[in-house]
Amino acid sequence: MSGATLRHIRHVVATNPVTLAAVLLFAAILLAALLGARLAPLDPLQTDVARALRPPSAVNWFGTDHLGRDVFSRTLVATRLDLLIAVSAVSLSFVAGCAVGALTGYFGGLADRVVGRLVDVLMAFPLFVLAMAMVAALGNTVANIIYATAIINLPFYIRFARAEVNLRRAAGYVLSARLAGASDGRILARVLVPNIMPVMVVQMSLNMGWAILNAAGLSFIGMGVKPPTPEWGIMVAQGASHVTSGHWWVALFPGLALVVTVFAFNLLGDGLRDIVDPRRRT
Amino acid sequence: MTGEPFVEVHRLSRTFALPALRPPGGGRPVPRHLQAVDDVSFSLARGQALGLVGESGCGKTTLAHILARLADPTAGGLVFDGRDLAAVPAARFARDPARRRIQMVFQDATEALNPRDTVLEAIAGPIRLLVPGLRGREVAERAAATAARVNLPPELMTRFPHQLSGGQRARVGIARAIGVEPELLILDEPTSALDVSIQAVVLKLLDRLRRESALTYVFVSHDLNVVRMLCDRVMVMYLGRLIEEGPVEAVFRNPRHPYTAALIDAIPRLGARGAARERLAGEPRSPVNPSPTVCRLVGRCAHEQARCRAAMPPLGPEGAGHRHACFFPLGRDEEPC
Ligand SMILES: Nc1ncnc2c1ncn2[C@@H]1O[C@H](COP(=O)(O)OP(=O)(O)O)[C@@H](O)[C@H]1O
Ligand SMILES: [Mg+2]
Repeated sequence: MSGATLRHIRHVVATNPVTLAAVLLFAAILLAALLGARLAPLDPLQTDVARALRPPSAVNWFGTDHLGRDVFSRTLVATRLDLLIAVSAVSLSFVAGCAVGALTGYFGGLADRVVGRLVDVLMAFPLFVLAMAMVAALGNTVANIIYATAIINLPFYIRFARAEVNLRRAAGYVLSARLAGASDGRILARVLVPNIMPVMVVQMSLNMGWAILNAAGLSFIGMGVKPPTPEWGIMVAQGASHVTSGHWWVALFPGLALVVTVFAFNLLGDGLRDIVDPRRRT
Repeated sequence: MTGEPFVEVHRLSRTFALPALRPPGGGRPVPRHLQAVDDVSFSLARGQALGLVGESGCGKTTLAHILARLADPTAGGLVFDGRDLAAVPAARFARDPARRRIQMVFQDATEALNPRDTVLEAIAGPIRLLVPGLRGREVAERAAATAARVNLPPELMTRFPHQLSGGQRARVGIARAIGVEPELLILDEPTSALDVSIQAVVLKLLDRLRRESALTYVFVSHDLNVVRMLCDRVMVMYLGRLIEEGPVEAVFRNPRHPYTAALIDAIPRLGARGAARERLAGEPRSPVNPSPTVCRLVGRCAHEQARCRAAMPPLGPEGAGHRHACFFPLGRDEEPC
C-alpha cells in the first residue's frame, strides 16, 4: 500500500464522520474477534447454577444466563466464530461469484445463458430454507455452515459481477486496452475486474451483515453451531425463552452485538466505496 | 504514389444486424441491417496523411476501427505493408506483430482512459505489452520520454485521468498511441472533445509528430479546414459510401461530387462566394437496408436525374488520382477558390 493510498484513506475517513464511526466500530469488532477469549473477564463455558439468571452487575456486566454463565464473556468470545463464518462464507462467494460473473459477462454466449438460468433457479428458492436443508443434509459443522452460507450468497455475486462487467465490456478504455495489445485474460483481470471492485466491495460489505444474520439464524433454529459454544444466534435463541419471565439481558446483549455488527458492515460499505473509487481521489 | 501502397483497402463493408421488424400491414418480419461502411476501396502511401470527412453517423468511426483492427469487416480486404490483415480476426489481433505498427487515437480521450490508471501507467502499458525486450526501468523511461514528446509535464505522471484537463487527457491518449512507435496512426476526431483554444495546440502537436517520425496518418474529422491544413489526401464519406477521394487541394478547389461541394460551401468563411453555392435539401436517407441501386444522395441533390435512381454511381475514374462517385459531376475548375 503506497503512501498516497494511505493518505487517501485518511482523507476519506477524515471528511466523512460516518465512515470514521464505521471504521472505529469495525476496529472494535475486529479486536473482539481477535482477542475476545483473552479479554473476557470470566470463563464463557463455566456454569454456576447458583448464580443463574442474575441481572447485569459489576461482576457480570451483561448478567448471567440460565446456567449461570457470564453473558458478557460469552458475547465477546462469540464474536470470533460469528465473524469467521460470515467472512469465510462471503469471501468464498465473492471470489467465486466475481470469477464466474466476470467471465460470463465478458464472453457471453452459451455458458453465459446456462449460468444465468442456474442463477435464476437458485434464486427462486427460499434461500434460507435452502441453507437449512444443506446443513441438515451435510451435518451442522462450522465448515458446512460456511459452505451453505457461501452457496446461497453466490447467485448475488454472479449476477452483480456479470451485470457490471457486461456494462463495461465495450467501454472506451477496454477497446483502448485491446489496442495496447492486451489479451482477453488481461483485459478481464487488469482492467474490468479492478473497475468493478468498488461496486463489488460495497456489495460485499452490505452482504456481510446479511451473512452474519443468516449464520446466526441457522444457529437460532438449531441448524447451526451447537451449544454450549458461545454464538450469538444460539444465545439469542436460548435467552428468548427467558424474556417473558423478565430476564431480558440474556437475549438482549448478544442480539445487540448482532445488530451493531451488521450496522457496522453496512456503514463500512459506503466508506469503502469512497476509498476504492479512484475518482474520489483528490 | 510510387511502388507498393502502404495500406490497401479493397471493397470493405461493415453491416450491423438489427432486430427484424414486422411490416405495419402484417406479414413476415423483415430482416434489417445497418450498412455502416459500404464497399470502400482506397490505398495509402507510406508517410501520407489521409483525411476522412463526412457528417456524423456516416461510418467514419466504424471504418477507423476496422483499419485499426479493433473490429472486423463483414466483407472486403485490408492489406498492410504487403500483408493481408483482414485474415486475422480482431479478437486475435492484440497478439499480432502488426499490433504495434498500427495504433489509434480515440474520439473521446476521457472514455478511452482507464479511470484506475495513472498517466504513467496509461502511457507505459502499451509499451510494456507491445515493445519486446524492455525492462521495467526502460519502459518507464520510454513512457517519460513519450510524455515529454507530447508536452506533458513530468509532475502529471502520477495523476489519474479525472485530475487532468481535457487537453491533457488528449495528450495522454496520443502518447499511448505513439509510445510504441507505430507506422500507421489512425486519429478519430482527436480534437472534437476539446475547447477550440486547445484544439489548435493539439493539432500543431499532431502535425509536428507526423513530421518527426514520418508517420502515416488517417485523420478522421468533420472539420474540413483541419483536414486541408494537415492532410495530403482526403476521402469524403456519405452514408457508409466513399463518394469522393483525391489530393486535398484538388478536392477543395474542384469538388466533383455535389455532396463534397455542399460540405465545402458550408464552411463559414469571410466573403461568401454567393450564387454558386451547393445546397442539400432535406435529411439523409436511412442507413438501414439501403438500396444498392440508388445513389445515396437521391432526394437531397439538386442535380438528380432518373439515372441516379436506377443505379449506384461507382467511384471513378479507375486509377485516377481524384475519384468521385457521381453520374453528373460538377466541374468547377474555372471557379476561383
Ligand atoms: N455497434 C453498433 N451497432 C449498430 N449500429 C452501429 C454500431 N456502431 C455504429 N453503428 C451505426 O453505424 C453508423 C456509423 O456510425 P459511426 O461509424 O460511429 O459514424 P461516425 O463516426 O461517422 O459518426 C451509424 O448509423 C451508427 O448508428
Ligand atoms: Mg465517430
